[in-house]
Amino acid sequence: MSLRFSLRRIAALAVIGLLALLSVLSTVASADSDTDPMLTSSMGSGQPNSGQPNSSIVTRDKNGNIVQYGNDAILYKSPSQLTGKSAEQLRLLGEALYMQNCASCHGTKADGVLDSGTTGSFPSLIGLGPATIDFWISTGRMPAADTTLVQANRKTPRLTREQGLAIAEWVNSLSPAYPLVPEVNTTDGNSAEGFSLYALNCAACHTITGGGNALAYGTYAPSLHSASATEVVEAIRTGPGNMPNFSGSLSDEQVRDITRYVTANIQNPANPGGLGLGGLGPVAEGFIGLALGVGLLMLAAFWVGDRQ
Amino acid sequence: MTALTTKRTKKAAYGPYGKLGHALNELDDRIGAAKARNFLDKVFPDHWSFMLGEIALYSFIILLATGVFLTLYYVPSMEHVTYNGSYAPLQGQRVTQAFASSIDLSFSVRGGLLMRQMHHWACDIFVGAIVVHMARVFFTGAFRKPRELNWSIGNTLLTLAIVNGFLGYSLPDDLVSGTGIRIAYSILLAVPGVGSYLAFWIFGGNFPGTLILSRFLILHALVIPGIILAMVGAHLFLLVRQKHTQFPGPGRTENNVVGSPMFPVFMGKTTGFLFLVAGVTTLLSAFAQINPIWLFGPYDAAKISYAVQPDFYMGFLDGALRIWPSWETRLFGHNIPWEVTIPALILPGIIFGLAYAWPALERKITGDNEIHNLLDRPKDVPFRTASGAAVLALTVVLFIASSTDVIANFLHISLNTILVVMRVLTIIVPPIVFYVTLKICQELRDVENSSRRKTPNMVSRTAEGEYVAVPAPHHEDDQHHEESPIQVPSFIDESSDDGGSSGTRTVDR
Repeated sequence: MSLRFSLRRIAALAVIGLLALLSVLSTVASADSDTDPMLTSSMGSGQPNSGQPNSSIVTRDKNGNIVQYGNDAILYKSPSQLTGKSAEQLRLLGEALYMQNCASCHGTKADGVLDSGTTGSFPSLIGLGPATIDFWISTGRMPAADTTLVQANRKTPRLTREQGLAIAEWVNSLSPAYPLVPEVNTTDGNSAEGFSLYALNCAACHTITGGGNALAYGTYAPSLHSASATEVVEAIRTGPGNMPNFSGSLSDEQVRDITRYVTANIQNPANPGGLGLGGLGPVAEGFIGLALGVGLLMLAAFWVGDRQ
Repeated sequence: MTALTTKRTKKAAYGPYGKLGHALNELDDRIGAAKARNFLDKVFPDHWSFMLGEIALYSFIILLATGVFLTLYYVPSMEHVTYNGSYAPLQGQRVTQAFASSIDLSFSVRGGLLMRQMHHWACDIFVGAIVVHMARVFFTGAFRKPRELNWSIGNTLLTLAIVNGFLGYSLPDDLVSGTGIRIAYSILLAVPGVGSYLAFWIFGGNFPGTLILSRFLILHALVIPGIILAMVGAHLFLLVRQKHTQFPGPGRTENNVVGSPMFPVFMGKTTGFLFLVAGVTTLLSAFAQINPIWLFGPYDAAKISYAVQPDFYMGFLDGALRIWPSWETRLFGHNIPWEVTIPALILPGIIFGLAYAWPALERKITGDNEIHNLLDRPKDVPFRTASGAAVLALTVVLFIASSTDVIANFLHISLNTILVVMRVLTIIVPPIVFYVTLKICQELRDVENSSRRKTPNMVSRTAEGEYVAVPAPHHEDDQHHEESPIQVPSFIDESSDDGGSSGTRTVDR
């Protein structure tokens, strides 16, 4: 008698608990979704630009160095232009920070250390351009916590944005290169265009929902759900790690559209239909379908039917 | 002289059962409707595991109802149009009418998304319930003579359900399902000898062509559901004709069936169960998203998303394809892609072939040609139970192998390591499961009172200081009292509930 009662109770509690959990989670999920107004495309304005200063808007400082270039979609700015400090100031700060945080692996001349010890080589930073350095530092991937990892993980940045830009300025001063640090104007971007380009260029690794996934030999395509607009552009223009460098194939307008889709639609999807189940697709759906659907109904059969 | 017609005489003219009875009598005179009374007396065993098949039946009804709704709005055309609907990130994209109509029926048709999600969840539940029902039938030996034919029909139903699930999954023409069609095309190409002809015949040319979705719709919404419906009819007809199996128990023999009659007990129970199935499906669909095609975008042969899997019932095929080593041979100037042919064609052929052949195999091995109406307890037939568990384990391992990337990403382990691990597991898990199940069943079978409830041990201390543990007798309340069944009346007019009131009945076979 007591066994029969407790089984019923467990079944009832399981049903009520799971439904309550689902309903709570779905209200939470629906609370932060909102629709995206259609935006007009501004394709065709300005010159195609691949992160190199070949566009019409080029600003030079008093020494004749390029400090800003780009177009309506993306403006590439030098660290001094972004921080408002002089390049000399930044270089002094940057050199000191570099020696503290980076030199032990990348070498005091930033030209890398080859085959050091058992962990392989540390790449040269010469000629990468400020955008590369800014991407690695601002996403917290550098300074790396564990240099034995195949791929540096995203984490809370150890250096501030300005400190990172200072290092970028100093490293860049050793051998000036492009691209400079991008500032993207996503409000004029076209989500639909970006969606299509994203599916063509990015989804094969980052997945169509932007969740990222494991690649071969311990590498992975990171999730895009916490990437800022600047980081998205920097990644596309510089190709960090395994990622290809899309400099030649995507114009600045196209990069802006992709960035718009990532930051507006992937990170804040208008996504009705209930709890998203972690965006894992049919694996999670099958699990829920079997555990909740068939499982609940088996419990119901157990309840309705005879148990002897 | 004319009789006075009053309400009372009019009523009397209809006989003792009133207007309804009169109408039924008229019907009986013409088509023999009274024979349905036999069906109302059909006895259903009350054990809960006999209701698992009903989950499948009722989710199929939900599939039909929601499917009709979806057909009203779906356009099976691969003609490209400019999407102009309400989902902003798609506005202005060139998409097929199939995709546009799938998005529109989700977002612009009232209740459309709920219907689509119900259709998809009901499908997952449908296939899952078939598998669970099949497991019940297999492990209790309900497939034995005389029910081999019904077992084969059930197998065919499972195959058709999987195929139709795949076809339906393909219809929205989103990025993920288009990838699935591409895989299906490649599997067709891998059919030995006739592959390329077969693929061209089905697709009306090279992939993707412009015809495949309309062909899939006809198959998915008309041909295969028609066959499934006919098969379900045959399945249930045989069930009524051959009568139910039952677990052994007091009053239950090979020659009778003990349970509740169709009317009124089982009818009420099963109708309530229909509502439970519909309710669970609706709740799932209301609260849990399934297949958000708007996030995937339209299919384009140049585009692909990483981390896509098929629905769970195709998972074992996808998993086998993923982990199979890349074997290829060139024979007489032709490429033989064993890496596709074996996991996608030969392997499911073996698994399903084994299921079809099992009743005959078992007859051959055991030499048992008797008719069986009483079920086995799984522990009493260790070899069968272990074999079934091993096949289930194989499909589960292959299903897990279909998400190697998800596992690698989740556990931060190299994808290559996971791949090797899954290959090893695929080989070693089924034999281990077989052996462990076999041993457990043999233990359980050989231990006396193994399926009885345990009683506490009374530990007492003797005068010498020795402790003795003696099993206590069963407590009064713990004893199970089986109610003795009452015989179903042989004459229709006889009052059926004289005597016992348990509601359980016995009927001769």
